[in-house]
Amino acid sequence: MKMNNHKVWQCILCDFLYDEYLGLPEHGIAPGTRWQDVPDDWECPDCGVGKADFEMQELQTAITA
Amino acid sequence: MNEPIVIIGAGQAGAELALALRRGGCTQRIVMKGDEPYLPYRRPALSKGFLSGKVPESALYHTTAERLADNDIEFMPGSRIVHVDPARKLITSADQKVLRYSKLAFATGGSPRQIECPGADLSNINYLRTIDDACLLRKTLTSGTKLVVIGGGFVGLEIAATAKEQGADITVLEAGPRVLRRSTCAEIAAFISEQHLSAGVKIAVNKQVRAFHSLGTKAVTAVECADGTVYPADLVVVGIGLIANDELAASAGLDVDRGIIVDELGQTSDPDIVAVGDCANSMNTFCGYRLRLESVQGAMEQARVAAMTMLGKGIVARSIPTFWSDQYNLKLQMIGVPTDADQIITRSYPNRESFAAFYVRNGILKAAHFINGASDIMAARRLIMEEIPVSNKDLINPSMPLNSLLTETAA
Repeated sequence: MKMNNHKVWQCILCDFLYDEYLGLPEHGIAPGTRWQDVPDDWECPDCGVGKADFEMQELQTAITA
Repeated sequence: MNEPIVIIGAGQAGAELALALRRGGCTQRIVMKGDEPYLPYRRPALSKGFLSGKVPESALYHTTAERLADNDIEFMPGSRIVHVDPARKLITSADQKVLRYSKLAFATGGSPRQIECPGADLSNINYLRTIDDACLLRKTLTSGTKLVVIGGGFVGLEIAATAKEQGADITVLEAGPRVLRRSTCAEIAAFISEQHLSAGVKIAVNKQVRAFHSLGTKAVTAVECADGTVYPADLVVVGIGLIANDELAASAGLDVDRGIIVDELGQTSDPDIVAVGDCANSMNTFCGYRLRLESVQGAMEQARVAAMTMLGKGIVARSIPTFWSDQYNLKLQMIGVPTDADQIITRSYPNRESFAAFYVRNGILKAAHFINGASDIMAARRLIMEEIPVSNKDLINPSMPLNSLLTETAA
């Protein structure tokens, strides 16, 4: 699957990364799911903070390398 | 002369350093040596989901072999380094192989503090730091196991909570007057203790272990405390702190003081050597003093900063220490440095499931600890970083979102 401008979002508490390209299939979020389409009540799988406590990563594309 | 950059240690900090070097444009060879046989992995779940079996081993890995290969990172697991010679820029591994480096990184992590008393070498006295430790513990933990946890810190309490779900009979022995003394305030600690008690975990404080006993076998059968009390045990787990793995650096002549001393760029006392993660006692730009953080987020941040330092483009990041834990259905999230405050304001919620503690100095928030969704880490971070004045009245009030404290002052 090709995805343009996919972004990576980082949990500010525990450093967990959500990569739009990869999604989070084990949590029911399909690969390619944009951040805005991740449910609002979704929580960080590692530390449990809310979606609002994630920040967009600047080095997005390189991260998935 | 094109000697590689060498990273000693393949935990999260080491792996992130290697990947950050490539992201930063590094074209040199990168060699990463780890003493464990595993790919770089994340340790937090070892005392929680991995121990209970809910999280598979595959979910622990920080990165994949393919990704390391794609990034031209030469990963060498099972390779313990025994000597570093900074004058000649050489490292020697346990199998006596010598490797020359151009720049070197210590990401050697930490080791569990060992308990010293008679009987400490009996079997079934365990520590928890590695996948192997957790697998061993998981095998020994069965329903009805009499487990004594020594140390009421995060690792000990997380193990207790997980083991309780497996049906073990658990007693936590804490040497001090209460649990979590080094990490959180009495109110949060009491909230967490209560969960343990209602789950049926026994917590005993002011219990210094004097000896371990066995009944003629090699396995521990009882724990004896300094006050004479004796606790029967089939299994003991000791969680009494982490010691920085800094001996290698110390014997190489680097400055060491309960961790390898580094500045805000990750630089050690040798200009060609950095240190990151649990092994480093580093200058924290947020606090303005040196501290050894035992935190994932801190380790990752340090790795990214040190990578830039190695590439000659020093960037200082002003990052706030953060930490988290989960026990039963409790999620604890912490941001900031409580010791910088002189006042604690607590916030209770009507649902009784959530709780927060705010650490304040002169009307400025220094740290915040949240239990169960009471969190607004982003707002707390801004309040702390930007030193936005807050009133105790607003902090106490559970219907006052932290977010609105940001806008209120901006207006």
